[in-house]
Amino acid sequence: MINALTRNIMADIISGEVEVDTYTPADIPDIQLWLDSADASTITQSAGAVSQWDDKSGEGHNATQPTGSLQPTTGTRTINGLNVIDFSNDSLVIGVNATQGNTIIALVSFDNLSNANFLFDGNDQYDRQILFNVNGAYAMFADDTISNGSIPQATTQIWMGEFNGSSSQLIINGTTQLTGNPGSDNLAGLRIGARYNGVNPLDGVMGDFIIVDKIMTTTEKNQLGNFLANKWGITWSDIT
Amino acid sequence: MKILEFTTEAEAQTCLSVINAMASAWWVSKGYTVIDNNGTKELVGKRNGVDNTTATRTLSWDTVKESPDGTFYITSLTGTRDEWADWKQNLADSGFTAIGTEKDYPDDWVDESI
Repeated sequence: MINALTRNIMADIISGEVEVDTYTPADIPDIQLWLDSADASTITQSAGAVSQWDDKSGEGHNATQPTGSLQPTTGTRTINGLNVIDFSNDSLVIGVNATQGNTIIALVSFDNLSNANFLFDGNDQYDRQILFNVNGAYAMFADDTISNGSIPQATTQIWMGEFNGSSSQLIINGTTQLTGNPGSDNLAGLRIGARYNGVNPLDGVMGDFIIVDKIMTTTEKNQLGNFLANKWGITWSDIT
Repeated sequence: MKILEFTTEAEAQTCLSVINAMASAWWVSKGYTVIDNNGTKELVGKRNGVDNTTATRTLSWDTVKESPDGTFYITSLTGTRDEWADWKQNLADSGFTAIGTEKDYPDDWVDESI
Protein backbone atom coordinates (compact mmCIF):
# COMPACT_ATOMS: atom_id res chain seq x y z
CA MET A 1 0.00 0.00 0.00
CA ILE A 2 1.37 3.43 -0.92
CA ASN A 3 0.94 5.95 1.87
CA ALA A 4 0.81 9.71 1.55
CA LEU A 5 4.50 10.20 2.38
CA THR A 6 5.56 7.72 -0.29
CA ARG A 7 3.23 9.38 -2.78
CA ASN A 8 4.75 12.78 -2.02
CA ILE A 9 8.32 11.47 -2.41
CA MET A 10 7.43 9.80 -5.69
CA ALA A 11 5.83 13.00 -6.88
CA ASP A 12 8.95 14.98 -5.93
CA ILE A 13 11.17 12.52 -7.81
CA ILE A 14 8.97 12.70 -10.88
CA SER A 15 8.90 16.50 -10.74
CA GLY A 16 12.66 16.64 -10.28
CA GLU A 17 12.53 18.21 -6.82
CA VAL A 18 14.52 15.37 -5.22
CA GLU A 19 18.24 15.46 -5.90
CA VAL A 20 19.49 11.90 -6.41
CA ASP A 21 23.09 11.29 -5.26
CA THR A 22 25.05 11.02 -8.51
CA TYR A 23 28.58 11.39 -7.12
CA THR A 24 31.38 10.47 -9.47
CA PRO A 25 35.14 11.06 -9.16
CA ALA A 26 34.74 13.86 -11.72
CA ASP A 27 33.16 15.87 -8.87
CA ILE A 28 36.43 15.95 -6.89
CA PRO A 29 37.98 19.45 -6.89
CA ASP A 30 41.33 19.60 -8.77
CA ILE A 31 40.86 16.20 -10.42
CA GLN A 32 43.27 15.85 -13.35
CA LEU A 33 42.53 12.34 -14.62
CA TRP A 34 39.85 9.67 -14.34
CA LEU A 35 40.14 6.48 -16.34
CA ASP A 36 37.21 4.07 -15.99
CA SER A 37 37.65 0.59 -17.45
CA ALA A 38 33.97 -0.22 -16.92
CA ASP A 39 32.91 2.46 -19.42
CA ALA A 40 33.30 0.94 -22.90
CA SER A 41 32.57 4.31 -24.51
CA THR A 42 35.98 5.53 -23.27
CA ILE A 43 38.04 2.70 -24.76
CA THR A 44 39.34 2.54 -28.34
CA GLN A 45 40.58 -0.94 -29.22
CA SER A 46 41.38 -3.31 -32.05
CA ALA A 47 40.30 -6.90 -31.30
CA GLY A 48 40.78 -6.07 -27.62
CA ALA A 49 44.14 -4.28 -27.90
CA VAL A 50 43.76 -0.82 -26.33
CA SER A 51 45.20 2.11 -28.29
CA GLN A 52 43.40 4.84 -26.33
CA TRP A 53 41.63 5.07 -22.95
CA ASP A 54 39.79 8.36 -22.59
CA ASP A 55 39.92 10.62 -19.55
CA LYS A 56 36.55 11.26 -17.86
CA SER A 57 37.79 14.11 -15.64
CA GLY A 58 37.04 16.72 -18.27
CA GLU A 59 40.73 17.64 -18.53
CA GLY A 60 41.36 15.72 -21.77
CA HIS A 61 44.28 13.65 -20.46
CA ASN A 62 43.68 10.57 -22.59
CA ALA A 63 45.97 7.54 -22.20
CA THR A 64 47.44 6.30 -25.48
CA GLN A 65 49.66 3.58 -26.91
CA PRO A 66 50.44 3.50 -30.67
CA THR A 67 52.72 0.43 -30.48
CA GLY A 68 50.84 -2.84 -30.86
CA SER A 69 53.05 -5.06 -28.70
CA LEU A 70 52.66 -2.63 -25.77
CA GLN A 71 48.87 -2.32 -25.84
CA PRO A 72 46.99 -3.76 -22.83
CA THR A 73 43.86 -5.85 -23.35
CA THR A 74 40.20 -5.05 -22.79
CA GLY A 75 37.09 -7.21 -22.92
CA THR A 76 38.57 -10.41 -21.54
CA ARG A 77 38.42 -10.05 -17.73
CA THR A 78 36.05 -8.64 -15.14
CA ILE A 79 35.90 -7.76 -11.46
CA ASN A 80 32.44 -7.66 -9.86
CA GLY A 81 31.03 -8.10 -13.35
CA LEU A 82 32.77 -4.97 -14.67
CA ASN A 83 35.39 -4.83 -17.40
CA VAL A 84 39.02 -4.30 -16.35
CA ILE A 85 42.15 -3.59 -18.41
CA ASP A 86 44.66 -6.46 -18.45
CA PHE A 87 48.32 -5.41 -18.35
CA SER A 88 51.23 -7.74 -19.18
CA ASN A 89 54.37 -6.13 -20.57
CA ASP A 90 52.13 -3.21 -21.61
CA SER A 91 51.85 0.46 -20.82
CA LEU A 92 49.84 3.58 -21.67
CA VAL A 93 51.22 7.12 -21.76
CA ILE A 94 49.46 10.30 -20.64
CA GLY A 95 50.49 13.93 -20.89
CA VAL A 96 49.40 14.90 -17.39
CA ASN A 97 51.24 16.96 -14.78
CA ALA A 98 50.79 17.05 -10.99
CA THR A 99 52.83 18.80 -8.33
CA GLN A 100 53.20 17.62 -4.74
CA GLY A 101 51.07 17.28 -2.72
CA ASN A 102 48.90 15.22 -4.95
CA THR A 103 46.91 12.02 -4.72
CA ILE A 104 47.00 9.11 -7.18
CA ILE A 105 44.45 6.33 -6.91
CA ALA A 106 44.32 2.98 -8.71
CA LEU A 107 41.99 -0.02 -8.54
CA VAL A 108 44.34 -2.93 -9.11
CA SER A 109 44.80 -6.68 -8.73
CA PHE A 110 48.21 -8.31 -9.26
CA ASP A 111 48.35 -11.63 -11.14
CA ASN A 112 52.02 -12.09 -10.33
CA LEU A 113 54.65 -10.28 -8.26
CA SER A 114 58.30 -10.22 -9.29
CA ASN A 115 61.17 -8.13 -7.98
CA ALA A 116 59.46 -4.93 -9.13
CA ASN A 117 56.13 -4.24 -10.83
CA PHE A 118 55.07 -0.67 -11.51
CA LEU A 119 51.44 0.50 -11.39
CA PHE A 120 52.68 3.73 -12.91
CA ASP A 121 55.72 5.98 -13.23
CA GLY A 122 56.60 9.30 -14.77
CA ASN A 123 57.35 9.27 -18.47
CA ASP A 124 60.98 10.33 -18.17
CA GLN A 125 63.81 9.68 -15.73
CA TYR A 126 63.68 13.14 -14.13
CA ASP A 127 60.04 13.64 -13.07
CA ARG A 128 58.89 10.48 -11.35
CA GLN A 129 56.22 9.50 -8.90
CA ILE A 130 55.65 5.76 -8.56
CA LEU A 131 53.42 3.30 -6.76
CA PHE A 132 54.81 -0.19 -7.16
CA ASN A 133 55.62 -3.62 -5.81
CA VAL A 134 59.19 -4.10 -4.69
CA ASN A 135 59.94 -7.69 -3.66
CA GLY A 136 56.32 -8.19 -2.58
CA ALA A 137 56.06 -5.00 -0.50
CA TYR A 138 54.02 -1.84 -1.06
CA ALA A 139 56.33 0.90 -2.30
CA MET A 140 56.34 4.61 -3.19
CA PHE A 141 59.02 6.60 -5.00
CA ALA A 142 59.46 10.27 -5.84
CA ASP A 143 63.30 10.22 -5.99
CA ASP A 144 63.65 7.84 -3.03
CA THR A 145 62.01 4.50 -2.22
CA ILE A 146 59.97 3.75 0.88
CA SER A 147 58.32 0.35 1.28
CA ASN A 148 56.39 -1.70 3.80
CA GLY A 149 53.93 -4.57 4.18
CA SER A 150 53.07 -7.43 1.89
CA ILE A 151 50.97 -7.27 -1.28
CA PRO A 152 48.53 -10.14 -1.81
CA GLN A 153 48.26 -11.62 -5.30
CA ALA A 154 44.92 -11.91 -7.11
CA THR A 155 43.27 -9.52 -4.65
CA THR A 156 41.38 -6.40 -5.70
CA GLN A 157 42.62 -3.33 -3.86
CA ILE A 158 42.23 0.43 -3.91
CA TRP A 159 45.69 2.02 -3.82
CA MET A 160 45.53 5.68 -2.73
CA GLY A 161 48.98 7.27 -2.81
CA GLU A 162 49.45 10.70 -1.24
CA PHE A 163 52.68 12.25 -2.50
CA ASN A 164 53.41 15.01 -0.01
CA GLY A 165 57.10 15.06 0.90
CA SER A 166 57.75 13.82 4.44
CA SER A 167 53.99 13.48 5.05
CA SER A 168 53.44 11.02 2.20
CA GLN A 169 51.42 7.87 2.70
CA LEU A 170 49.94 4.92 0.85
CA ILE A 171 46.43 3.96 1.87
CA ILE A 172 45.11 0.52 0.89
CA ASN A 173 41.32 0.07 1.08
CA GLY A 174 41.19 2.81 3.72
CA THR A 175 44.07 1.55 5.87
CA THR A 176 47.48 3.24 5.88
CA GLN A 177 50.11 0.71 4.81
CA LEU A 178 53.07 3.00 4.28
CA THR A 179 54.22 6.39 5.56
CA GLY A 180 57.42 8.36 5.11
CA ASN A 181 59.28 10.59 2.68
CA PRO A 182 59.59 9.16 -0.86
CA GLY A 183 61.17 12.38 -2.17
CA SER A 184 59.96 15.55 -3.78
CA ASP A 185 59.63 14.76 -7.48
CA ASN A 186 56.56 16.01 -9.29
CA LEU A 187 54.85 14.38 -12.25
CA ALA A 188 55.47 15.69 -15.75
CA GLY A 189 53.95 12.99 -17.89
CA LEU A 190 52.76 9.57 -16.79
CA ARG A 191 53.19 5.96 -17.88
CA ILE A 192 50.62 3.48 -16.56
CA GLY A 193 51.56 -0.19 -16.28
CA ALA A 194 55.35 0.02 -16.34
CA ARG A 195 58.50 1.95 -15.44
CA TYR A 196 59.16 5.20 -17.33
CA ASN A 197 61.20 3.31 -19.93
CA GLY A 198 58.67 0.48 -20.27
CA VAL A 199 60.35 -2.18 -18.12
CA ASN A 200 59.29 -3.65 -14.73
CA PRO A 201 55.71 -4.00 -16.00
CA LEU A 202 52.54 -4.59 -14.03
CA ASP A 203 51.27 -8.15 -14.42
CA GLY A 204 47.64 -7.73 -13.44
CA VAL A 205 44.46 -5.80 -14.07
CA MET A 206 43.41 -2.22 -13.48
CA GLY A 207 39.96 -0.65 -13.10
CA ASP A 208 39.72 3.04 -12.25
CA PHE A 209 42.80 5.27 -12.29
CA ILE A 210 42.53 8.77 -10.84
CA ILE A 211 44.85 11.73 -10.24
CA VAL A 212 43.87 14.61 -7.98
CA ASP A 213 46.26 17.54 -7.91
CA LYS A 214 45.99 18.11 -4.16
CA ILE A 215 45.84 16.20 -0.89
CA MET A 216 42.20 15.25 -0.55
CA THR A 217 40.23 15.90 2.62
CA THR A 218 39.27 12.94 4.79
CA THR A 219 35.69 13.31 3.62
CA GLU A 220 36.75 13.31 -0.02
CA LYS A 221 38.95 10.24 0.49
CA ASN A 222 36.16 8.29 2.14
CA GLN A 223 33.61 9.37 -0.45
CA LEU A 224 35.87 8.23 -3.29
CA GLY A 225 36.97 5.09 -1.46
CA ASN A 226 33.39 4.02 -0.80
CA PHE A 227 32.38 4.82 -4.38
CA LEU A 228 35.15 2.58 -5.74
CA ALA A 229 34.59 -0.16 -3.16
CA ASN A 230 30.87 -0.32 -3.92
CA LYS A 231 31.56 -0.33 -7.64
CA TRP A 232 34.15 -3.12 -7.55
CA GLY A 233 32.62 -5.25 -4.79
CA ILE A 234 35.27 -4.76 -2.10
CA THR A 235 35.35 -3.12 1.33
CA TRP A 236 36.66 0.34 2.21
CA SER A 237 37.39 1.08 5.88
CA ASP A 238 36.54 4.72 6.50
CA ILE A 239 39.50 6.89 7.46
CA THR A 240 38.92 8.69 10.76
CA MET B 1 57.80 -12.67 -23.43
CA LYS B 2 59.55 -13.95 -26.54
CA ILE B 3 61.75 -11.73 -28.66
CA LEU B 4 63.40 -11.85 -32.06
CA GLU B 5 67.10 -11.02 -31.77
CA PHE B 6 69.25 -9.71 -34.63
CA THR B 7 72.89 -8.85 -35.13
CA THR B 8 72.23 -5.50 -36.74
CA GLU B 9 69.63 -2.79 -36.33
CA ALA B 10 68.92 -2.88 -40.07
CA GLU B 11 68.04 -6.59 -39.92
CA ALA B 12 65.66 -5.97 -37.04
CA GLN B 13 64.06 -3.00 -38.83
CA THR B 14 63.57 -5.03 -42.02
CA CYS B 15 61.86 -7.84 -40.13
CA LEU B 16 59.65 -5.36 -38.26
CA SER B 17 58.60 -3.76 -41.54
CA VAL B 18 57.62 -7.16 -42.95
CA ILE B 19 55.65 -7.98 -39.78
CA ASN B 20 53.88 -4.62 -39.97
CA ALA B 21 52.87 -5.27 -43.57
CA MET B 22 51.58 -8.74 -42.67
CA ALA B 23 49.70 -7.35 -39.66
CA SER B 24 48.09 -4.60 -41.74
CA ALA B 25 46.72 -7.18 -44.19
CA TRP B 26 45.42 -9.28 -41.28
CA TRP B 27 43.59 -6.33 -39.71
CA VAL B 28 41.98 -5.40 -43.02
CA SER B 29 40.82 -9.02 -43.45
CA LYS B 30 39.14 -8.74 -40.05
CA GLY B 31 37.17 -5.65 -41.04
CA TYR B 32 39.41 -2.98 -39.53
CA THR B 33 40.36 0.22 -41.30
CA VAL B 34 44.03 0.75 -42.15
CA ILE B 35 45.00 4.17 -43.49
CA ASP B 36 48.14 4.74 -45.56
CA ASN B 37 49.70 7.91 -44.15
CA ASN B 38 52.74 8.69 -46.32
CA GLY B 39 53.74 5.04 -46.34
CA THR B 40 52.91 4.27 -42.70
CA LYS B 41 49.99 1.87 -42.34
CA GLU B 42 47.90 3.25 -39.47
CA LEU B 43 45.34 0.95 -37.82
CA VAL B 44 42.15 2.74 -36.79
CA GLY B 45 40.73 1.41 -33.52
CA LYS B 46 37.05 1.02 -32.74
CA ARG B 47 34.96 2.48 -29.94
CA ASN B 48 31.63 0.80 -29.31
CA GLY B 49 32.17 -1.11 -32.55
CA VAL B 50 32.64 2.00 -34.69
CA ASP B 51 35.88 3.39 -36.16
CA ASN B 52 37.26 6.09 -33.86
CA THR B 53 39.16 8.12 -36.41
CA THR B 54 40.16 10.86 -33.95
CA ALA B 55 41.82 8.49 -31.46
CA THR B 56 45.45 7.38 -31.37
CA ARG B 57 46.12 4.85 -34.14
CA THR B 58 48.34 1.80 -33.97
CA LEU B 59 51.43 2.70 -36.00
CA SER B 60 53.68 -0.34 -35.62
CA TRP B 61 53.85 -3.75 -33.99
CA ASP B 62 56.94 -2.73 -32.03
CA THR B 63 60.07 -0.59 -32.07
CA VAL B 64 63.61 -1.87 -32.50
CA LYS B 65 65.60 -1.80 -29.26
CA GLU B 66 69.27 -2.39 -28.52
CA SER B 67 70.02 -5.08 -25.94
CA PRO B 68 72.67 -4.93 -23.16
CA ASP B 69 74.62 -7.45 -25.31
CA GLY B 70 74.80 -4.99 -28.20
CA THR B 71 72.31 -6.93 -30.32
CA PHE B 72 68.95 -5.61 -31.53
CA TYR B 73 65.54 -7.07 -30.85
CA ILE B 74 61.79 -6.74 -31.26
CA THR B 75 58.89 -8.47 -29.50
CA SER B 76 57.94 -11.76 -31.17
CA LEU B 77 54.37 -12.45 -32.23
CA THR B 78 54.62 -15.90 -30.63
CA GLY B 79 52.34 -16.24 -27.62
CA THR B 80 50.39 -13.06 -28.32
CA ARG B 81 47.21 -13.83 -30.31
CA ASP B 82 45.95 -17.34 -31.00
CA GLU B 83 45.11 -16.19 -34.55
CA TRP B 84 48.76 -15.35 -35.12
CA ALA B 85 50.09 -18.79 -34.13
CA ASP B 86 51.19 -19.53 -37.72
CA TRP B 87 52.92 -16.19 -38.26
CA LYS B 88 56.34 -17.70 -38.97
CA GLN B 89 54.94 -20.11 -41.55
CA ASN B 90 52.95 -17.30 -43.16
CA LEU B 91 56.09 -15.19 -43.50
CA ALA B 92 58.02 -18.16 -44.88
CA ASP B 93 55.26 -18.82 -47.40
CA SER B 94 55.65 -15.24 -48.57
CA GLY B 95 59.40 -15.80 -48.99
CA PHE B 96 60.68 -14.01 -45.86
CA THR B 97 62.73 -16.08 -43.42
CA ALA B 98 65.12 -13.52 -41.88
CA ILE B 99 63.30 -13.41 -38.52
CA GLY B 100 66.46 -13.54 -36.42
CA THR B 101 66.69 -15.79 -33.38
CA GLU B 102 63.54 -16.30 -31.34
CA LYS B 103 64.21 -16.61 -27.59
CA ASP B 104 62.76 -15.76 -24.20
CA TYR B 105 63.61 -12.26 -22.96
CA PRO B 106 66.81 -12.99 -20.99
CA ASP B 107 66.63 -12.54 -17.21
CA ASP B 108 70.02 -10.83 -17.21
CA TRP B 109 68.65 -8.09 -19.47
CA VAL B 110 66.15 -7.06 -16.77
CA ASP B 111 67.00 -3.71 -15.21
CA GLU B 112 66.94 -4.30 -11.44
CA SER B 113 67.17 -0.63 -10.53
CA ILE B 114 64.23 1.61 -9.78
